[in-house]
Amino acid sequence: MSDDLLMMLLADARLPVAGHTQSGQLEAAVRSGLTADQVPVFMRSRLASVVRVEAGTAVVALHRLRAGLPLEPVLDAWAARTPAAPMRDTSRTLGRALLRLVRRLFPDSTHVAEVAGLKRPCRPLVLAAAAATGGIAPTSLGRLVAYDDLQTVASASLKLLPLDPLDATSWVHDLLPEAERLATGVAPLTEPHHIPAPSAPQLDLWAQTHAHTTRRLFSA
Amino acid sequence: MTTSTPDLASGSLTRVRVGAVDGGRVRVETDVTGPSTAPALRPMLLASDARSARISLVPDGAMLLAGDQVTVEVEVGEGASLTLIEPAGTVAYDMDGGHASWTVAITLAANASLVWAGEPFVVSAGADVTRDTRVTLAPGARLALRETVVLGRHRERPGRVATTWSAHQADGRPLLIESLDLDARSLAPGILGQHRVLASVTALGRDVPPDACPDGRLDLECGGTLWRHLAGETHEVPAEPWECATTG
Repeated sequence: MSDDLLMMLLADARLPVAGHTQSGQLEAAVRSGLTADQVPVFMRSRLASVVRVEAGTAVVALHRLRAGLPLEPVLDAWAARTPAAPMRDTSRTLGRALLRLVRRLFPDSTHVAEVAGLKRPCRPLVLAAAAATGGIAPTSLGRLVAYDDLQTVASASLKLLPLDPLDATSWVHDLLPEAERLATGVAPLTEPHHIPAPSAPQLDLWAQTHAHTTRRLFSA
Repeated sequence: MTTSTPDLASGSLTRVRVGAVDGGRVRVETDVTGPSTAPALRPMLLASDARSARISLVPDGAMLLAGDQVTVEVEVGEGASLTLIEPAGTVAYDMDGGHASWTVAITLAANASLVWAGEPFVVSAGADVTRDTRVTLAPGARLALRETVVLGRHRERPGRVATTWSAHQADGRPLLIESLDLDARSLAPGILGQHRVLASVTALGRDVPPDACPDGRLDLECGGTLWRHLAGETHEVPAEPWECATTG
């Protein structure tokens, strides 16, 4: 079987993995004044920063799962590149939800079992376990991480701002070449210390303030 | 990237070593190498006692211009404390297609302490500079580091600064790894927004009370805290994080 169908399944917004609870800091951004026409730039900022970290983490974890190397250094590298505690918590919460699904889909996978044995794995590691089990290539895994982030923000933007869903989808479409560049850029990575570390100070600060907000639509 | 020794034809290397505490006064060694024409940071000992020293890094010559490579290596020995101050901020000027670098390597032995009150680093229009900071901390070592990057002088377009920042424990475990390529495009929502000032206070190995100074506070995975503030002007940056990092 080609990895296409498994990719589609994992990228589907209807998966029961709590994706609808996420706005990728868009809610905090809107609260601090981000306007509808700035959403595509916001999505691009995420691709240039946190999404590269997550995609790089996933790809390196995939390599190490296949090579039988320990994953703890990957988790450490990811955490050192994710200074905002709410972002780390969110990735781990989403990782736990995804792990529940992936364990059901691949009950005999040693890769899934290995990631499940880690203390609070982040979402990219769980995705890597699914990819290692399902034969998804590193570039495809990078695409999956990038695409999922674009759709998460686009979908959240429709709940936060008076937008036409056709506009939101066309923004995702227009950023697909950027997602492809990201995926091909991280695909060859094999070492934890090579995981890119581009930061986005304003996203970090938004994540932090949002975590202390009580009135909110999205958990992050 | 693999060595901290600059090309001494055009660069300078400033070393500051504060030895382990043994006896009456802490041992302080400083030296500057490089051609006399190269701008350098000259360490000036302001004070010292049994276990601590206070040193000012005084710029010698105009900096930062195209071709400048300024490297600073700081080592603090077991149990010793060093405070570094800068008499003024640094301006990276228009490099007209050229490039400059500013490299800092910090090595802290067990229970050593470094407090470095960095002044603003201003990246003028046309400047192109890399700024690398590497920190290694042995068990019990403590760091408080203040850095303020300003994109452009007043009412000026930003230049370009590519920063890399890493802190590792002596056993190699990463504490904080970050790279930031900043230029006019970084004034985008999510990166810097419309703010040309990025202020950072990094506190590693220090006991910062869990609820102290919550504004802009990012608590790292393995202990340690990074405070971040985005501002339009440097005087808008709050002083509390630095106070919190240096008194904790």
